[in-house]
Amino acid sequence: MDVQNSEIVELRNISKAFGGIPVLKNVTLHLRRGVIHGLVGGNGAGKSTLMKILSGVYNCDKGDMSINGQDVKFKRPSDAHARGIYLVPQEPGLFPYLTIKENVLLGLGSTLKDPVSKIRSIMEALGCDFALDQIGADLTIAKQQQVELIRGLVRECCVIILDEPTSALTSREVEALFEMLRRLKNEKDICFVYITHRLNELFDIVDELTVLQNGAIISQAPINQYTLKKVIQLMVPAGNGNGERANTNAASSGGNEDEGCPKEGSDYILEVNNLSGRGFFNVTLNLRRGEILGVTGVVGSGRTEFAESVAGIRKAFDGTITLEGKKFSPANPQDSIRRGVAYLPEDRHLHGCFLEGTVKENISSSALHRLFKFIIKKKIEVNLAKTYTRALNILTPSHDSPAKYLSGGNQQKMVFGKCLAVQPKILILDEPTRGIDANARKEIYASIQQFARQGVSIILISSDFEEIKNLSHRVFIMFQGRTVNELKKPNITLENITFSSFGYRAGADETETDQPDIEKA
Amino acid sequence: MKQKLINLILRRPELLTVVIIVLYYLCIGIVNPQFIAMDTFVRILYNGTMLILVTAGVSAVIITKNIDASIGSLLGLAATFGGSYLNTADPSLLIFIMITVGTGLLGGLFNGIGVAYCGVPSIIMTLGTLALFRGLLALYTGGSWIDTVPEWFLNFSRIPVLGLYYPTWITLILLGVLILFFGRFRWGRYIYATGNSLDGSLLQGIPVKRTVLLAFSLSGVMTGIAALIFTSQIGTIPTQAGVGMEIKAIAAAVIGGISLMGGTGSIVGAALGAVLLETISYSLVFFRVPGYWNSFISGFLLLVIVVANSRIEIYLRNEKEREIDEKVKRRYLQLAEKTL
Repeated sequence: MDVQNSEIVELRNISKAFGGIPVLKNVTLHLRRGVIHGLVGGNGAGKSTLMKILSGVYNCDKGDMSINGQDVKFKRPSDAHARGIYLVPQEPGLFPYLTIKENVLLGLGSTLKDPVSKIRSIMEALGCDFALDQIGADLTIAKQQQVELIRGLVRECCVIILDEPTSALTSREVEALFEMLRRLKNEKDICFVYITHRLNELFDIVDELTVLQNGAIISQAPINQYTLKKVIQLMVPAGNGNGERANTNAASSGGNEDEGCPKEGSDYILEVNNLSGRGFFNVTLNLRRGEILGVTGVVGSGRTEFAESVAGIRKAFDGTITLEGKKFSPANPQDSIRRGVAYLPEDRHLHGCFLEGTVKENISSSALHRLFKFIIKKKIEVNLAKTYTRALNILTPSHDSPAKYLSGGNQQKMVFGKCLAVQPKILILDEPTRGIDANARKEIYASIQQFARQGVSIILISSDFEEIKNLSHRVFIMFQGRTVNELKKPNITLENITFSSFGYRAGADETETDQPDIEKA
Repeated sequence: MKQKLINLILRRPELLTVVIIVLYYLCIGIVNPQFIAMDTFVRILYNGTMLILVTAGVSAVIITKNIDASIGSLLGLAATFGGSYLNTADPSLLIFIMITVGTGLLGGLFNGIGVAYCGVPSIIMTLGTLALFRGLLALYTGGSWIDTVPEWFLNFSRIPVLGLYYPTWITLILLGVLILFFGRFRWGRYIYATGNSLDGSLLQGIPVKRTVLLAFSLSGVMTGIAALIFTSQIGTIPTQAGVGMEIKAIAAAVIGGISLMGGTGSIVGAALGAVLLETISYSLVFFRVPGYWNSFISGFLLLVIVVANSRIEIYLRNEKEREIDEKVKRRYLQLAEKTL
């Protein structure tokens, strides 16, 4: 057993920062043969980044890596493949129009003598029921994942990284996958790294566990030393870092913040009843006038999909939305904007702003239909831009400078201004402070609170639990497409949010809330 | 059944091209039975060699999700350089071939380096070289035609072998080589993979830049060989040689099932597309229809095929989306029952 459990990969003091913000801090990780190593952590803990470094997608800033005792440095993923490390991404990356055989063998070179018979024997061992000449686009997600596994196995990989392999699988498919992993672990001595948000799976499949938080390892031990409760407890944010800034801010507006909190029993401006669509299921929540409603959960819990269906970007197929007492089923974003719902999208650069356009043009872009019939009157547009650059303190040389020259924080404030320019009754903010500097963050928090006091109802979607805790009057938590819990003050604590976002109730021991498998397309 | 048929057409679009060719023959044959003769087919293959070759070349580029709009000018340039060598005293066949094909190769390499290594979008790069090569040609000849191609060389393409002419045989052999290259060789597979998914190719360690360079060089070489045939078939090389060839070649490739989105289509299909266009233009000559109809019809066909294709794809995507929605809905209903 000693030989079997020998170490293959050693990561020493790995550090990595993106845009000056540290994502990994001095992480040291040992991986051994024939072991399934679980890797868990909250949003932004650095799991994916660490694995991308191990598989050659990113280079690390500091630290080193050795495989079988030899120091290595990967420049690209094919270097990692050559040393026996293969990453199975969350979304399988098959070539849609190539056959399965071509998909597996591509990029392999000519090292294998009889690759086809090797693939066949692996497929037989894994119990795959697809043919080698089917094309990639024809397979279900579960089967595409098997193809990715075969890719790794044909290359004789000794370390296979699985990034949330079960997020798109049904429970039967999950069983089959686990069966496969156990067999490969025992028969071929392969080491798996298993990343997941479904924590109960850990106790079925994983041998060792590493918990990451905020880019550092905070716990590492064999799985039998953990309980579910302990694992979640470990992932509760420590209450420093980003949130501290939000905290001081909340403290500064301290007393009047509670004042701004709308009274229990006042009318709802928005009621969502059993709304289902692709990626979310039976979402029920409500929003009062002037309320900041936090909606959170782990990445992939269906928050954005839900928000997009309220904003008219995607269609819900079941359930109702009631806006100011009237039925509301938006067919497109224009509908939503006309009814007073503005949406600030998650990805600023992709969906939020026109980088080539000027600040003025960006701010007025969603409000053109409200202000002008045919001709854009310059004076009105300039005034609009002035109003919001002043209100949000957007630092720009002039209204006519292109948006691409603004800093990330100021761009985000500009997009915020664009949403406000339509004079919304409801403002949906999806990750409003992602990737922006501390000062801009603070200013955006202040603006959110100010606009809520002026009567705008705000749905705040965020992965940052501290942000949610410090700003929200009420919090809904989503897990695998559903709203699983509603927290009111004073129950809005980091611990409660963390437990709920992994599908458990804080305090309740091992009793789980029911966890449906939501198939994501 | 309907679904299966649509799927088959999407998978093997060249089948549709074959059906259209046969239907076209039959239609013309009903009007004039003389059209359906072995001789007609031999002539179409003889006239069509140039188009078939450049279509096969440009297909390689389109499969990588790029475009080569410069082949018309490159064909003219290669023919001009080769032709002017033939006008020197005592030209050798080998050197003539080397000059003509070499010009094509260099032109293709130039395009490929611009696109793959300098990051110029392929449409801009090759529209630029379309003008550049044509300008180079005019500067070199000073606007005069080359019309003294030696008799022995002209006779070369007019000797029938086993019922077909030399150029046709060369074309068929080259097509065979290309089919083998795309079906059996690693770099042929790389060309498809690059067009399928650029990110995926990078992740699998495929040398994407060299693959794109290879595709453009292939297009250049095929254009050079087409220029050889041009010289031997036509005998004079005007400054307008090859004008409009790029449009015809791209149209033929698309008609034959090469997707402009990259990653799909076959060389056989592309060649069949070229044969279809050539059949149409031959039939127009046959009925003494004015030549300008030719261009109109190939453009019209291109648009019809592209629009039809995108309609089918949209239809299929919607079907698939609906299917997934249904599945998710059913799943939700089950869940709702369970929780009640």
